[in-house]
Amino acid sequence: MLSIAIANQKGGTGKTTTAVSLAHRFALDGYRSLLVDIDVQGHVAVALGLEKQPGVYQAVQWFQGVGNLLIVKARERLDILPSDKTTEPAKRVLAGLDFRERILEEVLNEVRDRYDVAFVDCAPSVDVLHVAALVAADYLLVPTRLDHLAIDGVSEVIGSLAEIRRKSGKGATLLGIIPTFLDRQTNETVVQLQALAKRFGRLVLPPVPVDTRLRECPAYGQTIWEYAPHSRSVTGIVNGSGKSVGGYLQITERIKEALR
Amino acid sequence: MMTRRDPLGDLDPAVNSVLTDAARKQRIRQMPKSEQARARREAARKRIIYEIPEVIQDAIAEIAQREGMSPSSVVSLLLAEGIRSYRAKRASFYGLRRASRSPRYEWVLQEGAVESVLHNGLTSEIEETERNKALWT
Repeated sequence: MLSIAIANQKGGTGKTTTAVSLAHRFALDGYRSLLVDIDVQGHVAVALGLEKQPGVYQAVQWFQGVGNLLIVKARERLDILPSDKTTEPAKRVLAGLDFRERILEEVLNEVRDRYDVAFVDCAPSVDVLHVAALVAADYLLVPTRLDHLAIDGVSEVIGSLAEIRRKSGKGATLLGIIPTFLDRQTNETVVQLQALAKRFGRLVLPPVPVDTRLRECPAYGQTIWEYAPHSRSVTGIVNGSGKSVGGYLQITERIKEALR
Repeated sequence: MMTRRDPLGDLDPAVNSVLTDAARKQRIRQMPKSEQARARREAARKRIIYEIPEVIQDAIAEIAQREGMSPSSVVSLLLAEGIRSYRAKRASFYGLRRASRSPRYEWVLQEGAVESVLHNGLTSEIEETERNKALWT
């Protein structure tokens, strides 16, 4: 099983949307997928039309030897380990435990045989679960809005990853940076994409265009593949030569190529 | 123009494409108003429209589906083969065209020319020369 953490310390960069979209795409493509939500907001469950549940809280209890992991079926071949507001006290409990940064590694090891790929949707903060996600995952994806502050968040998360790797001797490999909310009409967006490309080169994956349909689909408890499979956040935008570029379909292909 | 050899280095083709488009638009915006319209027309000319008979359109769609390729790719490959044959004098338009009444072109296709090529192929230039010789002797 391969595990991919989706993180950026800046909020509102499209982490949950990216996690849900990619996990469901992999499931639709035949991969047995698990999506772990470690954000206290519990929006992964909401985006999939499910109730928020104390999955992380129970995982902390399981880590202490009490009870079982709470894993919920969301779609065909897609399960989630949900989160809710109890994740906050769970983090406080976890902070007092030995080997706390290994919790997600232990969780993923426990379910390794049941899935082909696991995605971890991180919270926009640097806490014990964020560190645990970067320790546990094989790869890291960083979605970022195309503005200066969000791109600064990219540097921060890469810095955190470098520190984790230095101190623990393990940690995720940076798989790519996903520029989100691409708006070609705004000069700032293009300038920031250029800055990102200059700094990270090939690691910058195809951008996701700004798309109202993507913002709407959680309200219906549907993923973008169900709600608007032909929308531009899926198929991308048409460039000057008439070809489609960007979008989650192209990103999924790039990820599969990179992992091959 | 931004290309793969630019200082930005090796980029994902999608990122490269977005940046190239943006750079082109930026260049056009910086031009005097009188030149902007011309530059936009030039950019739009990258897409060419040809009139292709329905029988060929259907054949392209069928091949594209069978090969799992885009119709544009199929057209490009098959045209490349046709151009190669024409340049090697293995393809001529003998018997397929008639004099045009339009001042724009000297020749237009005869009725059923495309269907004929689809079934029998193009005559080679050597065959055409032999036929011409036979007419005069």
